[in-house]
Amino acid sequence: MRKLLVLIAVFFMGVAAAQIQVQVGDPFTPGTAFGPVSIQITDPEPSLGGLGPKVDMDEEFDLAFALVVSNLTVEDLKLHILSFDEFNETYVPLEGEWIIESENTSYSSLKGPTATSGNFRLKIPKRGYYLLKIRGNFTINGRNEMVEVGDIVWGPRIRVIPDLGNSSWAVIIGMPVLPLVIGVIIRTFRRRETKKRRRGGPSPAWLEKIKEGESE
Amino acid sequence: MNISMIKQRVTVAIADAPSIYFFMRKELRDLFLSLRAYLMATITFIGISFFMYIQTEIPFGTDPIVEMVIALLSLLGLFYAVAFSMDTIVSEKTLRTMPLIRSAPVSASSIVLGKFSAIVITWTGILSVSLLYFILGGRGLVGQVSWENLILGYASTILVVAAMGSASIFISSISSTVKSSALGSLSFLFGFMGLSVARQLFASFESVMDILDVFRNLSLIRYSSMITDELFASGTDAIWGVTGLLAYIVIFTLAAIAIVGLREGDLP
Repeated sequence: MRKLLVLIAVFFMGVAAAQIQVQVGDPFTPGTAFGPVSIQITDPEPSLGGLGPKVDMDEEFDLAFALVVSNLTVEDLKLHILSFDEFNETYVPLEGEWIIESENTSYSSLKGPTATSGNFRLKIPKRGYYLLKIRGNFTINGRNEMVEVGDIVWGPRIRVIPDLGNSSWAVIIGMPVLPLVIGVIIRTFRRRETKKRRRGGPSPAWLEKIKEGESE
Repeated sequence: MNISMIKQRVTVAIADAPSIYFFMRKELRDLFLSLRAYLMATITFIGISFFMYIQTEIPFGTDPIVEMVIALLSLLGLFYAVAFSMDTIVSEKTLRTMPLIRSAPVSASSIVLGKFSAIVITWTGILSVSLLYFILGGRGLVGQVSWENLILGYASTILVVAAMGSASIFISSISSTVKSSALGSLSFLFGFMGLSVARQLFASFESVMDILDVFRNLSLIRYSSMITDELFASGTDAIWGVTGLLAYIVIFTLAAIAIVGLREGDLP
């Protein structure tokens, strides 16, 4: 009976083990979209979380992508950049003025299979945390289609932060120290005055003034 | 109350002004000739520097920097008010200087209002110096500052400090030792702070929530957030927040004056 139970257990374990499939490689690469037209963001490299690259205000940087079209012809292909709007919790088109240059982002007709690459050159003048997305609109056989790559989890995300200059660092460090220094100076000065008075020296002018005021 | 009585009260109040100024000046001298005020300013500025540095890693934008600083100052302001007010009246009792003060021709209101205004002025002074962050910080630290929101936010923290300070002065006036005054003021503060935790703990108990809601509607922390919500989010209750905080200031200051005045009869 015990042997039979062991055999049954081994059988079920074998069946369970057969269900486990070993996958080589990751089927999902962050920053990649699939379909008749697939886009992959290549720069900045898609990250698994993380804060994303830091860019200075008014600094130029690239949002590069690879574009693959499968075995069909795509018409009116146009790629746009969207940015996540936290207040409305939706993606909105990135300011047109911030895209200073674009390469291979628009095709009237593209015959597949083909692979190409392109980029958007951006210059963002406003500090902020930009969660970007590339959207491609195209038509296949007269039917409007859309493909998107990038989201708030997988990026790409860009931190637009101006560089801290020497004056900013001086403020960050100097401000907490300033009141302490003033306090210590006043305290030292006051102690010295007290010692002087105890030794029988003349009272300081400010003390005399207060005394006069109080006696009045 | 007829007009002549009101006139008499107003005349007394005006005549009291120099005494208020005297006590205020004395308190300010004590605060600024010791390290207390400077230490408080240092702690406040360490907080602001820390938060401003953090946002250079995660840029929240320009207005959120102001919002973050105001939120921090509102919190620090509560502790400042408790720390600086809890021993105001009670220390005069424990050091036995109150009978000496009351032997002079000064009213209870001048003692309370003098001490109260010194605390509010000191906090306003700390806030004024902290404006240097926004003036000298440059675009690397603060970017374009929304001065209107900043000044209104600062005014709201002054109101919070005044409200908490008046409550602490009242607790100090009814306490017999500095320890009991400190305990009372901190319990008062943490009681309101703990309300949100209690609301989460008892979220499924309707009757408990009803009681907690009553206390929440009286919480000065809630009044403070009503103002900041309207400034930085989408609230519309700032006027109620201001009214609530002003009510705190008036009620507790009058109560403290009454208590200090009552003790007059106990004096030898």
